Amino acid sequence: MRFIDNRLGRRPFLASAATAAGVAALRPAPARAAAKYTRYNVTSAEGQKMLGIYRAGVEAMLNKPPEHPHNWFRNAFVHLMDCPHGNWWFFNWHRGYIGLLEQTIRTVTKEPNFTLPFWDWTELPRIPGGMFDGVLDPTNATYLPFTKDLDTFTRFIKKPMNAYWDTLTPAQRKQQADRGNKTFEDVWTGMLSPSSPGDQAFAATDRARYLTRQNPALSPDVAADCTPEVVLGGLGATYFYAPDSTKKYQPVLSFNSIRTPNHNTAPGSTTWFSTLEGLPHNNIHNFIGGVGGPWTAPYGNMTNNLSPVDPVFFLHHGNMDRLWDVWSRKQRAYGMSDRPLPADERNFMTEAFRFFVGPDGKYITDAKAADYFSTDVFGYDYAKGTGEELIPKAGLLMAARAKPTQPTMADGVVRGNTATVTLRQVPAQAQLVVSVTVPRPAQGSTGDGRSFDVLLNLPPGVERVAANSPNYLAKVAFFGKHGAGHMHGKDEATFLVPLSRAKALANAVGGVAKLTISVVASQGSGPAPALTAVSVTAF
Amino acid sequence: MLSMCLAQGAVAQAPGDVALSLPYPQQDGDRLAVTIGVGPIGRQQIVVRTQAGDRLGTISLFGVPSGQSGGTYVIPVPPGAVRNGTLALRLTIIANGQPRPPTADEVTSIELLQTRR
Repeated sequence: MRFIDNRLGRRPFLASAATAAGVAALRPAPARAAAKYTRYNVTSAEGQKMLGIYRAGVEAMLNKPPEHPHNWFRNAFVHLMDCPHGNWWFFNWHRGYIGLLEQTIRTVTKEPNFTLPFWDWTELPRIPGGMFDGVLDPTNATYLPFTKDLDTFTRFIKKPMNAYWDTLTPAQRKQQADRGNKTFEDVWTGMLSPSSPGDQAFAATDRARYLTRQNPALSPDVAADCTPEVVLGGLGATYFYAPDSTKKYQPVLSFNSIRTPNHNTAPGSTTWFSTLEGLPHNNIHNFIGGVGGPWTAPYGNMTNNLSPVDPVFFLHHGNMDRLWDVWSRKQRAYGMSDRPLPADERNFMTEAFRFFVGPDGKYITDAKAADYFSTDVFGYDYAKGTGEELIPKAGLLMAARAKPTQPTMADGVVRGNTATVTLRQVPAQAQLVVSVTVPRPAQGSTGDGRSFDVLLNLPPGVERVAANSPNYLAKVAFFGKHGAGHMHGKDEATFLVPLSRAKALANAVGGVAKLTISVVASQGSGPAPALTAVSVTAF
Repeated sequence: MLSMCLAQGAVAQAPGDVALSLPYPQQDGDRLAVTIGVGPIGRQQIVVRTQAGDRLGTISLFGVPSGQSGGTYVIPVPPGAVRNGTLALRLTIIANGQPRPPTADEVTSIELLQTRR
C-alpha cells in the first residue's frame, strides 16, 4: 500500500510538470529508494491511527522520570537549548529533532511502524480536532503535576536539568556559550525572561495553549500566511542558498533563511527569514500560544523555545519538513540542485548538533548537519499534501539551467553621477544585473526627492530620458528611517537593476562592451547623486 | 535560466501606506515579493495588506531575543495585486490589539523584488 501511495504522489507531479513545460528540458527526478515509512496527513484515516499512537507515546514520555532523557519536558529542553531559528540550519536541525522523536515514540509505545502525522495547515487552518484529546492538549489536567505553576515546574525538573548540565562536554559548553549560556542558571533565567513576560518560555498549565476545542481556528491574518500562494512563494525559491552575488535578491531566491556563523546564532537586525520560516512557521507558533490574538502576556508554550511541550509542535514541524521535501523533489525534477552551493557545502554540512537524544535514550553529542540532510536517514516519505500539486505551475516560472555558472562581476569607474563599466566575455546564457550604490538623500526629502532614474549610454548632451526610452533602465527609491541604510547599515543603499544582453552588448566591439551608467533624480526633482559604486554582475 | 532580477525601492505616502512601482512591465511568470525589515517590535505584529484590503502576510517574531530587531521577511505578492505597474500597500502594526501605522523604527525598509526566469 505504501508503495502505491508513493507512486500516486509522484506521478501526477511529474506528468503535470512535463505537460506544463512543453519541452524536453525536464529531467526525470532521480529514482529514490522506496521509503520504509510514510508520514500521513493527520486528517486521513492512516493519520488518525498514527495520532492515537502519538498520544500514547506522549503519555509514556510524560510518565518518564525527569532524570530520563526521554521525559517529555527533557525532550523539549533539547529545543530550548539548541534550536536554530532565522538561519539556514532551521529546516535541517528540525528534521533531525522530529525524526528522532518519531523513533522514540516507536520505542516507548512498542509500535515499530509509527510515523509522525503532519498538519497541513493550508488545507486545515485550525488545530486538528484530535489535538484537544487528553495529553495532546497541554492544558489537560494530566500536565498539572508538572506545570501547574512555576514552583511546581521548578521542583519537578530544575535539579535533574542542572545535573544534566554538569555532564556537558567542553564542546557542548562552547555551543551553549555561543547562545549566551555560560551556566545552567543562564539557561533557567533565559527560560523565565523576567524582564519581558511576553518572552517567557515556561507556561503554566492553564495558559499553555490559547486555542481551544471550541475556538480552534487560526485568525484570518495567520490563515492568510498559510494559503497556497504563500506556500508556493516559499517553494518558488530556486536555490538552497543563493549566491552572495545575488545580494538583496538572496532572500527571495533562497529556500532557507540567512547563512550564519553557526546554528546558535540568534536572529537580529541583519537576519532575513525565508518565506516559509518567517510567515507560516512563525505565525502559527505564536498564534497558538496567544500572540496576535485578543490576549495578553504571559503566553503559551508555542510562542517560545519550550514550544515542544505542546504536542502540536511536532505536527506543525512535520508539515514544515514535508514542504522541505516537496521543495527538494521539485528542484531535482527540474534538474536543479537541492543542496548548498559547492562553496557552502562543507560549511553547512559539518555544523555539529550536540544535544539530540536517540531512541535508545542516549544523548547524541557528535552529530553533524549532514546526518539529517536527507529523509533517507529516517527512511520516510510523505503522503500528498498542499504544495505538491502547485509545483508544476510554479516550475514553469523558474525552470533553471542545471548548473548555474559562477557569477562574474565588473566594477565601474565612478565619476560623480556616472560610471563606466567594461564588460568582457559575457557568457551566452548569462543574465546581467547592474548594482548601483547611492547615498541616501538628505533628511526631509519626500516623494520623488528620494527616487532616482538609472540610465544607460545616454547620447551626448542628453541628461534624462523617458521611461520608454531604450536608454532607461529603472527607477530606484529610498524608504524607511534616515540613517539606517538597508544594505550596509550606512547612509546609502545598493539597488540591483536588470540589464538585458541586447542593451548591454549593442555597441560591443570584439565581444567587449563599454557601458556608461548614469543616475539622475527622477523627474528633475533634485540634484544628481554622487555615486558610491557601480558594478555589473553576470550570472 | 537563472532568475533575472528586477529591483525597485519604495516611496512613502500616507503613514503606513507605500506605493512600489515595477521597473519593468509585468509578464506571466514573474515572481514578485516584498522584503520588509522590522525593528525591535517584540510581540507586536506587522500586518501587510494591499490598499484594496487583500492580506499579503503578517510578520510575527519567533526565536528573536528580547529587544532585538526582528530581521527581514520575504512576503510573496500575487501577480493580481499589482495594478497599472504599481503595488500599493498598507502596513499596520498591531499593538495591544490596536492597529496603527508603524513608525520608521518599526518598519525600517521595504522593497519590491521581481524575478523572472
